[in-house]
Amino acid sequence: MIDTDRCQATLPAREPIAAPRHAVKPAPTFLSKLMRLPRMAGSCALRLGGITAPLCRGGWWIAWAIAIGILPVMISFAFGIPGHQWFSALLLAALCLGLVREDAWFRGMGLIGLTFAAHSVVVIALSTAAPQRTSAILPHANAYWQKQQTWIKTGEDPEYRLEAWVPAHLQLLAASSLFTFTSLGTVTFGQGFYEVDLMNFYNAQLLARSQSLPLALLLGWHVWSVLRGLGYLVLTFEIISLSLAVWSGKRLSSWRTRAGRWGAGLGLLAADGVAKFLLLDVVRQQLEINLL
Amino acid sequence: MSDDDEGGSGLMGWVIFILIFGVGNAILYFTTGIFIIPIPRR
Repeated sequence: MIDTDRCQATLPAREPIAAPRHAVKPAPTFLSKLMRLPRMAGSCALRLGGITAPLCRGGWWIAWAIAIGILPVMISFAFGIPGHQWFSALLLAALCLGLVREDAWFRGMGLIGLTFAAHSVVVIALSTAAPQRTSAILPHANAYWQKQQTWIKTGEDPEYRLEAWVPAHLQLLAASSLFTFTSLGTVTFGQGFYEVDLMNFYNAQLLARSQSLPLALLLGWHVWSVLRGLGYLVLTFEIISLSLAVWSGKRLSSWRTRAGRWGAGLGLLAADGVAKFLLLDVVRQQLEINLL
Repeated sequence: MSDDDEGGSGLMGWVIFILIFGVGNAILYFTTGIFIIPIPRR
């Protein structure tokens, strides 16, 4: 029997094959340089996350959420200039990058949820106290309230028909996913603040014209809208994470975690549709009865 | 996690970052986003 270990020990170690001296690394072509740009941008996004991540450690994310939710809109209100929705969106997206980088999904969703909640409380308060001045900084809010008023009083709204809202919601899901991916959440947050403010202004007007304020607030912020908001909260965090992973080339989360977030987000959007289908008329009737 | 191993550091990286995520998305939003993002009622 041959002692293979001894045989191998006596063999000379293999020398690595040296590259020929005349071989020169080819100069990068214009196309190859162009292909590196997304990765450069992704690396910078990851670095930005590295800068913002420490800001959200401990309980600091709570303070940041409240500040981002209320300060831009209050400044906007004080000066009568719109634009707070995009300013808040930029700040929120920057902080989310830090939490996405650490795959801190619990704090990430807490940050997004609390920012929107704090923002909503302030916008409802401002819209109740000074509706004219507030509507000037909330694009299309007054027109939205008029449409809602017609729906509550008549029950008629073509946009609430099944054949209208199902395609609209599927389109919203596709567009939101696309823009979350391309903008690392900024466009989705900006659009989210815009849509939430339509609801906030409508709720403030409803409160001013209702007998029971708690009932108006409870039903005015429709349960299906809340479910949709929560669904997009989960999906937005997940798609920012996916986007940052693709742009930067880093693995930021496990596929199991990603699957869980997609399941939860899509489940909440499906629940939005079911709740709307089942409760639409009941909610409308209660809102109408509650009107002054 | 090292962030600089893909050449993302430096001024040029940040310029590319702003061009792609800032300018690029602004163009995309104002040319297509405002048309393809619907406003579902409630």
